[in-house]
Amino acid sequence: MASTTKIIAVAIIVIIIAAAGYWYYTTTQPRKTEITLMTKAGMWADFIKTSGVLEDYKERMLKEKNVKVEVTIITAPHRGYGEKLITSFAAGSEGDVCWVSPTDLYRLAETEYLLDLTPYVSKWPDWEKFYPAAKKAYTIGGKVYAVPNDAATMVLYYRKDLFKKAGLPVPWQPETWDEVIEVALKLKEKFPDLPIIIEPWYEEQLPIYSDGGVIYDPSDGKFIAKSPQILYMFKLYYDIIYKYGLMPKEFKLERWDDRKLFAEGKLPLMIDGTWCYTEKWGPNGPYPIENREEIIGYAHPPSSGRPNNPHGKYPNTFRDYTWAISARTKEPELAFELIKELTRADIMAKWGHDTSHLVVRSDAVIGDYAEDKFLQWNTESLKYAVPKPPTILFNKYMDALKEVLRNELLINERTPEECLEIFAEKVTEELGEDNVKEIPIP
Amino acid sequence: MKILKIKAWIRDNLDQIVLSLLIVPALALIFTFQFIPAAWTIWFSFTDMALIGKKALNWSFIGFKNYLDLITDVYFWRSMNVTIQYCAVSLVLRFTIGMLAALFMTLSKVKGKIFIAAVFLLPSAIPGIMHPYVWISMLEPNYGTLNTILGSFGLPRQSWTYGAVTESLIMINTWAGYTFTMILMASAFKSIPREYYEVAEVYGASRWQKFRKVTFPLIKFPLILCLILIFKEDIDDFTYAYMFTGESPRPDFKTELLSLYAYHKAFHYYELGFGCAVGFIIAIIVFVLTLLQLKFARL
Repeated sequence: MASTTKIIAVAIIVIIIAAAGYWYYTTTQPRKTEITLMTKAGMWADFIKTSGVLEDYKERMLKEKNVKVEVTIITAPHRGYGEKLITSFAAGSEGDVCWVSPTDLYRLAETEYLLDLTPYVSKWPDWEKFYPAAKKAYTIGGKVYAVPNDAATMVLYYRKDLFKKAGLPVPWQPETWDEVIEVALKLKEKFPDLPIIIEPWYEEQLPIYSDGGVIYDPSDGKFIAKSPQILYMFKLYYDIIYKYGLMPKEFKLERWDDRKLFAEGKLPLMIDGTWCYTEKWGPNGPYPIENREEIIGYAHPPSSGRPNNPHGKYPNTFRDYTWAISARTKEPELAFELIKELTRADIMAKWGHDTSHLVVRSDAVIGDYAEDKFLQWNTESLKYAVPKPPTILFNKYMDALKEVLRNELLINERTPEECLEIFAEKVTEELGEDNVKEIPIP
Repeated sequence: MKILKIKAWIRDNLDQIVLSLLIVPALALIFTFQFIPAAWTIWFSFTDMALIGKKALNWSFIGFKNYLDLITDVYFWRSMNVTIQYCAVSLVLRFTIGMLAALFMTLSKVKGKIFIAAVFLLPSAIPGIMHPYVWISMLEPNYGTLNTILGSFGLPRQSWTYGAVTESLIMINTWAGYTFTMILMASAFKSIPREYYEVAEVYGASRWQKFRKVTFPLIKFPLILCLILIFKEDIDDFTYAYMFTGESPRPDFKTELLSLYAYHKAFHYYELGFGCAVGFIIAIIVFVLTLLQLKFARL
């Protein structure tokens, strides 16, 4: 009997020790989980893989949260990325963390596909270091839906060598669009066979800002269907194409590779984004230009010359990408920690330098980025950059504008006044009468 | 007694039962991957479902509204017009060039005929997805091979990617697709017994009579089948037009084939319901053509 009691007692002690051991083992062992990250294939995914950011993230998560996290990168090609991203969200196959453009962001937020990051950023001390304009651009209805990764503005690029040959001064900074046209005409005279692309790459609304106008009035939440500044935009494009014959309309219709033409010295003047400087013409770009500093000149897009422009001397547009989290993620904390890592000051500076994008946090002007003359210069343009209206209607507004510019101005060769009327009608139809207003034209 | 009857029935029909069971996996696959997606597409076409925005969350059944909207949609008809042009011209070119190549392969006695035939078949040896990439570099307005050749002869550059973009699409489709006619018609020519021609020659038939009385009756059905198959293949073409157009429709709709229009509606404008309605229209056209094809194939 006594021996039986002893056996039971020993058994109980063994069980208790085993349970304690198991409890100790399971609580001290890291929890295993997986985070998926969706971004563009090519340099976007390559940067993440090679920058060491994922290793740092995994190490930090293990140390701080005792979580062994695996990060799987899902990629989609640059071309059509937005469509693939949205289709992935609709199908439920998106990543936990996604690389999202502002235009897609508004759509995704409206569909409740994105996690509201407000509670996360409010506890993040670094959030204060992000530029207010960037934060504002991704705050919809008071909720933060994305953390900005970089920024870009429009740049007036010119070939210094061709300018010199044409007897034009270098460096050059036009103060008005009339000055740009004047210089373009001189270039045309010197190089009659070369086109001049004075049209902002998918930021067609830029001349509206140049003339002190807006496309959206935040005070009443209405888009502008008709205004003197919209008419100015149509007139400027009309003059460049038809009155002065500077920009061949085939450029848009045939989709010329203007970046290649510029690199080969077949295009003296063009407008494109910040990123072109390194992403396209840098040593690792598709069209490298040797001695970039000596060949490529850059200037801010000017104003129309109208006094007291509310956007400043050199009105510009604000664009580029952000990181957002899927509302369906099972690991919101870890996903946000990944975003914190991806938008770290040193990582942002490296990305900005390697691909010529502007950083969006004040403490990221460091390392090679801080030494880069072009980026230093371009950072100034952020002062004049007008953010996009944070509403889904912006996409419809821009679609209507692009359609009128291409169908009516380019194909049907309509006058600026006709284009304005057609645009006003179209935008009112697309956005609804309650969402638009007209500013009288004197 | 009943069990015995069942057993006897199984024994008598064992072959049919085994054969029926053997096709079950294939039927299951067809049901899962063809019938269900098709049924979903038809269902979506009766809704106002969107991929994104408010209608992605709160969509509703709208009956035939998408189809009625299609009838009054000017872009749909523009797209239909482009598609018909594309199919009709492609049909003529693919058939004519393929037929000439087939005649060359079967009738010619030129040395190195096999090598020439292999060259003829090259387009079908190159993966379809590569075709547009190859052709984009050929047709690029400033750097493309065709404009460089034209320029070297002092001829003006052509707007292959805008002014003549529909023609460019047809050109690529013809280049990639004439081999189908060539193979089909060459096999039809080859299947005609030589004895028929020998008999016709004995009776003093001319070349035209031999063609009319021997060749044509024997190739009539493969020929009709070939025409239907080409048209069917082209009516839902997508790849080349997509490669030339990109994500958004061209402003002039010159490359907006029906399938691309359906794609843009569903995945560019995110109007999934409407896109599915366009897709279903294409499916009906292809279905009718398939019935015709089956009818001729049986004959």
